[in-house]
Amino acid sequence: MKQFGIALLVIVISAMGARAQDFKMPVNLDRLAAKASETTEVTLNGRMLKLAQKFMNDEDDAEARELIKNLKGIYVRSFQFDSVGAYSDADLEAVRSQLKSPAWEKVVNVRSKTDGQNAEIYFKGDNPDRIDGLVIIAADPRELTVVHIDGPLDPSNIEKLGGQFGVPRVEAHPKSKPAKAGAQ
Amino acid sequence: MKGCARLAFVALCLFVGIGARASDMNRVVRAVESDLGIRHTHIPMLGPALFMSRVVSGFQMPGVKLTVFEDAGLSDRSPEELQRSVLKALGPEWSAFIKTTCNHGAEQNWIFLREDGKKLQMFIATAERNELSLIELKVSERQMRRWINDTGEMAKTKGKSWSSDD
Repeated sequence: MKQFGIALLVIVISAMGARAQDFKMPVNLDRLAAKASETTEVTLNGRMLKLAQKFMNDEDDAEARELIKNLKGIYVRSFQFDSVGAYSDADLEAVRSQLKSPAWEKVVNVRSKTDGQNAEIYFKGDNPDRIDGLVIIAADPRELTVVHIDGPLDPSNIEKLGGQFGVPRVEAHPKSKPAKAGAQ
Repeated sequence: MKGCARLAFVALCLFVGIGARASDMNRVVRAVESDLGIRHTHIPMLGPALFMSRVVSGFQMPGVKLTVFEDAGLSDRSPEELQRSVLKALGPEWSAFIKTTCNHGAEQNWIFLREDGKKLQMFIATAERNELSLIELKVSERQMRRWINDTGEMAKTKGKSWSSDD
């Protein structure tokens, strides 16, 4: 009976751990919409992605269809502001706090002091050939975009998703193993 | 002759009944009117105008249904309230795909999608201060592919290109 209890405890803790790794667009991002002059919210859940695949029959779409085949979802939140300082780093804390090691790893961290354009890319999982999820935070003084791609993806194919499904174009060239957090 | 008229009346009732049951637009309009206490605006000759557009385009233009609400009471309602009412009426088979806001939330657009055989059914709701427009249409494969490649453009051009099959 005691062994059963321990086994049950292990299962519950494992389940909690697995849930903690999942990323959800935080509610406070929606509150930013009130400050933003323009917002765009794209929601492509598993059902919608399957639907999209049905309409991608052309040869030109083959690459994109293959890319999204195993994905569980693509979620984009984009905000444009009239003035500088309409949002703060604290607004992004609810996003970053979910992207902790060991489940998530920051592979790109670009901060420009001249034009204030910042970009962060986080990978989920530690397999160098396949990631289990991706979060991009692209921020400049008047614009903020958060992208969450849920599901398995080859890191070398990330660029191909840029410009499609509301995903901004990114140029990420991770080496065989993702770099540690804080890479410049 | 009287029998024929009665038969025609029954056929008309059946036709109207089937049409009403099949239309998501009717359901949403009724729900919005009931939930928000507003009435939709009657646009004279809209039905014949949309039909003529289809005839002129050689029936290439998709079937479009359009309903407009112009009501001062709309400005008292929050965008979430409007979206909730529309989504509830559409039902679980519809998915919210894109939501955009402009002018600090003064204009809100939602696009909902549903699979309909080989076509895709699209429901667009655009809310401004005192106006709510609802558009229901079926999208061709070609149009959908173009939009999939640029969802941002889809949101921006939703009002301009819904009537074209390009």
